[in-house]
Amino acid sequence: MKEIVRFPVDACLPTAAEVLAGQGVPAGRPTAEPVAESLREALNLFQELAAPITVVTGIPSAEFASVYRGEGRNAPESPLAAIFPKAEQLVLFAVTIGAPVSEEISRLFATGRFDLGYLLDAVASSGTDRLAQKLQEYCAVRKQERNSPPGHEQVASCGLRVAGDENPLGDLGVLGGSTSVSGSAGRAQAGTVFLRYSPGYCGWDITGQRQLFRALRPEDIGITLRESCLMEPLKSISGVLVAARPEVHRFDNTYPFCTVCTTQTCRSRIAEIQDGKPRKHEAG
Amino acid sequence: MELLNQIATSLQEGDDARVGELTRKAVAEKIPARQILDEGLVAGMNVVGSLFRDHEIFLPDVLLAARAMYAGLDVLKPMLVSENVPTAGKIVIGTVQGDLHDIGKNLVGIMLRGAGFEVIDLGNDVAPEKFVETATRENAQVIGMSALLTTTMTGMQRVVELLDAKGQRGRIKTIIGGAPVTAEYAREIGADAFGFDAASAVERVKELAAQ
Ligand code: B1M
Repeated sequence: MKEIVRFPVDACLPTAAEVLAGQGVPAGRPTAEPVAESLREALNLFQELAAPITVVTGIPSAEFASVYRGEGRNAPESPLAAIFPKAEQLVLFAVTIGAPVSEEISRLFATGRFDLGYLLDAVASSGTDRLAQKLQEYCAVRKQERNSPPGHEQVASCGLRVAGDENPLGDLGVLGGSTSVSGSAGRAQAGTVFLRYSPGYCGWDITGQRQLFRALRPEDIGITLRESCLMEPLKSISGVLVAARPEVHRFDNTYPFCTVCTTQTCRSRIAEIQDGKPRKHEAG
Repeated sequence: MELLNQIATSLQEGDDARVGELTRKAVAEKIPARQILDEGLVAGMNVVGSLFRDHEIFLPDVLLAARAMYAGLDVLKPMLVSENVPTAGKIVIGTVQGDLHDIGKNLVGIMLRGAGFEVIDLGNDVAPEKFVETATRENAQVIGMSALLTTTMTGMQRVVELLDAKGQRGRIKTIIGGAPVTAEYAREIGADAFGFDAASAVERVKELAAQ
């Protein structure tokens, strides 16, 4: 069953420090006042213009196998190919912060405010990543609270669920960013961790977007796929949320495609499920 | 000259209003436009460039400085034209067909303008034919292409092939860049250069324009 989940903008608003860190600025380094001012302006614009919305649908493993196969262009071996058959639950997802932010970025560049346009772009990329993270946490909380996987139950008659209403984001914070549903909080299935995997990463070819879109239909929340596999709005992320024991998510970065990977975000994700401390993920 | 040093310093501070004001003052003092450009604006931008390379400052600082540079250039433009000051070269840039991600391309354009190039920006989702037609019509020396995804970067090869088919490949050079693009891919498709980032793109374009 498909579920549309909305989040308040504040849930995906990055901090100034996070945005600067994404620009390679070392923590604690003083920021020039004009840059700090543009960044404040960019964060305000994001708050004004972002319209975060997400969609999830549960999918049985056999069906996911065919989504994952896509157009047959995946790497011969990949982490996800080994992970998903051991999953307790698989949930396809897509998130977006909407088109107005991107339109504003274009407008700012066209009118010579490229410092602000660039910072708004950086805020929006971090914000989209945060939104995906919040959805991941939301799914973990839902699973923990009801042992009822998101996307596998009847949704409210209008089909809309506002995450902020039912699961105040403060509650989500209790779990920490690792989304681990194990331990003291008395989870339904001790030790389960939700982590997301996306086409275009770690051997899952980007053309896999087409199968994923056929199965999830994120057009309902305004995300469309171009012939070229580019999603519109630009600030969108798609993929699968995999619920599994932490050790299932662990893998070495020794695949052939790892040598050309510039982000290596898998390392921080794996470290995170190990120590339970949230880390900033690079976007995408 | 003190006034030109002040322009360079204000530019490094990203103070666009002050750079505009000081440039107007320099013009009023009859300092040749070329000298204001070279010893004020470009000199300031060169310092910004080296601070950026040494990780002393970061991209948002560079963009503020570039904005200040534009404030000065706006004042100088009519004089540069009337004094027949040549540009560093002409380049047509755009994001390839099927792709909408243009932040990287925009940054490259901003830096190239700052380095004295005339930049014709075709925007995003640009068809290969449009790149080639525009560059030919405008007598540009270089075509610059940007892409976000491996699925869209294939459009770059089409541009190189079209240039080849029209016998323009030697005359109009190509430079490519973007997150999934590599130097190896540039070699593979026969592009003339690869830009890792906006600063290196400017260096490569200078080399191409000089050939
Ligand atoms: C003319 O000559 C030149 C010369 C130099 C040139 C040039 C032209 N053009 C650019 N340059 C160069 O100079 C510029 C300035 O230094 C640079 O320009 P860039 O445009 O690269 O740089 C920008 C200023 C800042 N950089 C960026 O905005 C991209 C950074 C990374 C981390 C990234 C981000 C931020 C995002 N992403 Co994603 N993202 C990644 C990127 C990985 C990386 N480390 O680069 C990449 C591009 N993403 C990827 C993927 C897969 C995806 N992303 C997605 C989503 C996102 C976010 C929304 C979270 C976010 C914003 C995306 C956006 N376009 O706005 C999805 C696609 C989105 C869509 N609309 O379709 C999604 C498909 C994931 C998913 N399934 O949801 C990968 C593409 C792989 C592929 N096979 O194509 C990726 C390379 C990450 C990876 N796997 O390592 C240089 O490249």
